[in-house]
Amino acid sequence: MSLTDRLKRLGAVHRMAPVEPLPPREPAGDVAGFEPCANGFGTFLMRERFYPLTHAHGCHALGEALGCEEKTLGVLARDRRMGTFDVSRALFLDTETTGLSGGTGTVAFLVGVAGFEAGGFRVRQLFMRDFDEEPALLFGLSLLLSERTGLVTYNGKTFDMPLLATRFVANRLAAPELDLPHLDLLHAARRLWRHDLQEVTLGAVERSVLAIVRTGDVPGMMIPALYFQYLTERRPAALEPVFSHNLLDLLSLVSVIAAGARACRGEGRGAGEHYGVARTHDSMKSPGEAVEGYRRALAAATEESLQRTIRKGLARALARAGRGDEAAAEWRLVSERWEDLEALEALAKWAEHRMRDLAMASELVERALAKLNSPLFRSIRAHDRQRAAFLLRRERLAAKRARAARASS
Amino acid sequence: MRGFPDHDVDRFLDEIRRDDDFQKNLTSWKVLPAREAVTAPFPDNLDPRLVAAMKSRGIEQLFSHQAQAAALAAAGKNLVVVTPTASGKTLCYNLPVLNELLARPESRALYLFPTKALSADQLDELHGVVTSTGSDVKTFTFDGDTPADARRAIRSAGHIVVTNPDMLHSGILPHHTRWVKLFENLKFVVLDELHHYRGVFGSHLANVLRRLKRICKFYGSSPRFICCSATIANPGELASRLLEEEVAVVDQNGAPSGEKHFLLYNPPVVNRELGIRRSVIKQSCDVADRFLEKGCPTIVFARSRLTVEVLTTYLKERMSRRHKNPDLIQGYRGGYLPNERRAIEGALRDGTVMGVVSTNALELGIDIGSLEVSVMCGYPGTVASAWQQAGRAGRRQGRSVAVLIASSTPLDQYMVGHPDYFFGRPPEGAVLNPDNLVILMSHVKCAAFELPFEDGERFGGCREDLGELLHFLEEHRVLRHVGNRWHWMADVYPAGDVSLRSATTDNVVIHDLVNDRVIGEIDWASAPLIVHDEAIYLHQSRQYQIEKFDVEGKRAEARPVEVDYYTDAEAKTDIKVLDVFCEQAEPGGQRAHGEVAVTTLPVLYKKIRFHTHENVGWGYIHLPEQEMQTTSFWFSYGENDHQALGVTTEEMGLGLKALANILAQVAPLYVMAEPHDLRAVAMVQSPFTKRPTVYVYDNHPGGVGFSERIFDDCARLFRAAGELVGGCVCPDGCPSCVGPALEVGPRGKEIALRLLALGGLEERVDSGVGG
Repeated sequence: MSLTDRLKRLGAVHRMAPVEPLPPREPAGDVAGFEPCANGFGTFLMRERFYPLTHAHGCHALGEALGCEEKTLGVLARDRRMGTFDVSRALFLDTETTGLSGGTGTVAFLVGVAGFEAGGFRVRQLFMRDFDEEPALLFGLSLLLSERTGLVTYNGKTFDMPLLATRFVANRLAAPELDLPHLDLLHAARRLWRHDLQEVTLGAVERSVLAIVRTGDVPGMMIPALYFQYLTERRPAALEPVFSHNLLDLLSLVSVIAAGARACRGEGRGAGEHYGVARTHDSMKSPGEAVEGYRRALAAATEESLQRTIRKGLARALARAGRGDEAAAEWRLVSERWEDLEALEALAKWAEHRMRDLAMASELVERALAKLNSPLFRSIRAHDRQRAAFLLRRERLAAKRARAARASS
Repeated sequence: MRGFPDHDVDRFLDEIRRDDDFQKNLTSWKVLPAREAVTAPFPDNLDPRLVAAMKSRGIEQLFSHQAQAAALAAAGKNLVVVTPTASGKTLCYNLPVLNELLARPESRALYLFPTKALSADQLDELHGVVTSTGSDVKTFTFDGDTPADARRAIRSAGHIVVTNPDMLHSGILPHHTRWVKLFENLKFVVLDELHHYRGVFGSHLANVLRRLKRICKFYGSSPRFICCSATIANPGELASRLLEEEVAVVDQNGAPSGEKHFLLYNPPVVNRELGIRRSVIKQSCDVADRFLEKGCPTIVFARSRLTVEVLTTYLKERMSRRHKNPDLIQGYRGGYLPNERRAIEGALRDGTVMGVVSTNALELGIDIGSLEVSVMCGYPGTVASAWQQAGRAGRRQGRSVAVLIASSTPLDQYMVGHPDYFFGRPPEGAVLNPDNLVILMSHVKCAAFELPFEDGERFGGCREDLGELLHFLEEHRVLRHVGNRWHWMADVYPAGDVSLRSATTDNVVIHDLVNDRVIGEIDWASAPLIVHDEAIYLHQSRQYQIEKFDVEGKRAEARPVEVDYYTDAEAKTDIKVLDVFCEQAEPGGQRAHGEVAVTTLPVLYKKIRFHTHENVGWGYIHLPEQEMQTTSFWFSYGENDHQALGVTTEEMGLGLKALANILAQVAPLYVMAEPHDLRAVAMVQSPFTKRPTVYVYDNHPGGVGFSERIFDDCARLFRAAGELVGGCVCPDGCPSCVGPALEVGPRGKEIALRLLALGGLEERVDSGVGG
């Protein structure tokens, strides 16, 4: 029995469905709009598009991404050192790959790169018609990379750049410097919009923030299959949706910068966005800016649970900014409106240590314990430690008050 | 308290010397005398820092095998060191590796241990030596538990990366581009516990090593291999089949060892007619409890998960009855979650647990401190395993005791009945089949994912036509041939679908409905017989009833229950020959080896009461049949043999069933297999041979080489089985030989003996003419 027959018989074990015989191999023909590019490693295809700075992609013109203030960029990246990031000299990058699970067997068959140049924004899409064109494509990419000083991507730190690094190694090609200053907009978008969006995908940001509506767009998970289909059938039309998907992704990167910068300047469009900016300031240890952000968020907030969250953030930021009395005022508001445990605790501390009002502190502790001893809170294990802390505080306050009483009598 | 451990063991030995009831059931009491060390000086080429570190740890000289290993490694040879437990084998690889790393800090080494727990242990020891040398050799464990933020540092900075084959297969090789430093500079690969890499696991590992070497070649390195194995018959052969390279064998052990008392115990016959002996579980419980009562730290090895749970329950009960804390006894087996296992290991080391009941999971070199007593509830299946398990007692010298308690199974009876055989050179050779098509294909896919194959490339020592395999994968749209290379063309991560521990890829998850958590996993093939609807599943001595086995969802839903029985399932098996690889006429019939399709249909389950082991009910199992293709050995008799034997066709059928029973029991002995690795089925008129035939097949899809080995040496197997049946005291069949007369008929034993004699006949040919 031949090996193939034995393999076919084992097909059941491998769960490989029987397949049609392979059609005869079609030569890779031209792809409309793409030009061949040759270098020492072979040939790949490339197409170019040029957009003026005034080109509107959603509610922003491309040029708006340029000229962001240093401070704004630092907040967008949540990294002050990124303030000097030069958007005009950065390479915008997005890949389309043969797989989404990563690993050495995943290849980027289409690499879209773009950047600002005099008078506009130029997009180049590098495409390989088959696996043997990969070395040429990678070499072409490394030339384009070497002209630029930074990277702008959406999730590129985790996905695109490690994948490309792997491709250079796997092809034993000298890798260009990939470790450039890197503005990964996924992380920025998550900070700014996760309170407004269920999932912070580029698509969701486009729809809700950038006012972009794509028609006939191809879902990302379909892309590997479309490429494999192109390899067997050689009909480039099947890939056209992928090319335009990649192109739109690149343009959206530019608009995300503009929208993000606007939010970071304090010109956000809603409570969630202001809150995201405020939290970013918090984590960058700028409590003053954070306070401003929370106040703006509060002004815009209509939903009750968001209001509570924002007020608590505000109270914490005020405390960190050394504005204890203002913080206490916020905590009082929160405790009165929601009987919030964190607020009660903060107020009790403030009363005990700052105001030296032991009676008030005791009253706050009793309020907290009354809430914690309710059947609902009793049933939740996570509150046990909190309850223990309040009990300890109650004991200490009682002792303190007894001492004070003895001293005064 | 562990005050005077030797004293307690001595007291026990004195006690049983005077205990006639105990004595009369012993078939052997062997005292293995303490052995003196054979030492050798540190080799000249050893870095002075390393010598100083050794001396600071109280090691003034090496044992002879350690010195020999160091010399061979220095000469650039692959080697396998064969030594028992507690012989200082870790130095056999740590010395050469550290010597290399001290001389060339850019060098790298990879350590592979079969389990995660082992690697955690080795790391502690290695850290100690490294610290003593004052160097900055960095050693890291890389496994599923390694946090993501530590991984980057390990990839580039780890001099020694400690991991397991599963992680190498699914976490490292498919991401080799992130491990450039490691692969470019890899000088040594250490494979400890090599004897574990046999059968399915070994066949997988051989392919993982093919992939590893392929990646190393890509990065320009060519590492040497240092392996350690427990005592088996063919360590050199096993190592060279795994590595597909020449391997030098170091098997002269220079380490000292303490006095060991090795007792073989056969429980008394309680029913001669049925050949029933006292239950091995009860007997093991009694023996272990006698040690535990005297405060001797004791490990009890049981063959199955079920027995572990039952024995743990019994021993805890005994403790409670003496008003001792039942938590001094713990169970330990695969299926427990990792943190449960780590906690038990720690408790054994610090003495807060005195007795542990384990499957062979603890047979490996996991550090559980110095136990004094090892009780084996039944023969562990291989002589090598028996010695490993016995070795868990008294690792750090001093007097120790190992008691092997035989069950009624033929293999156990053979072992306790033939102490000379048992204590002689172990006869098992480890078997593996890297070219098992299912396994090979899985790894060809993984390899193609890692690096495209080139035309004309070879995959290690693979004897199949690689080009044809690649063509097949291209037909299935997994690969694409362009230029002279085969590129991966699928949106999947192939290593994720391949488990090294089974020849299939699926597991069934067992889910506790009440507490909403996963309590264990079980492989797909065994699932129908263990987690069918209504089955009682035991975990940590707790009983669960399976409410629903969801075949599609690969999930069994369990609910905690308290009942006084457990369940045991039965299946109906049918076999069809697909292809004959070899055939050979013998004086007593015809032997053959080939490919078969086996269908198994679970039929019913029995409820068996604890303690009394009586049958208290049964039910049908409604599950679809499973089909498996595998390799099989078969032996067919003459069409009219039943007439020649003077028996009816019906009697012949029963006699063949008896024959299948005994072969299934004895065959694992010859091929170092676990009993579940092999199955036997008899047919009075096989549709394929048209003759009375007995099949012994590999119980793994595609086969892993066991049945082929049986084909090669079947006369010897038939003779050994004949010896066992002939020597059994029962009149007409019992569970200790061919099965009870109720199952195999009144003449079953007699007919099986005659069939075994026929199969054992060999032509007196001295020339080397073979089939």
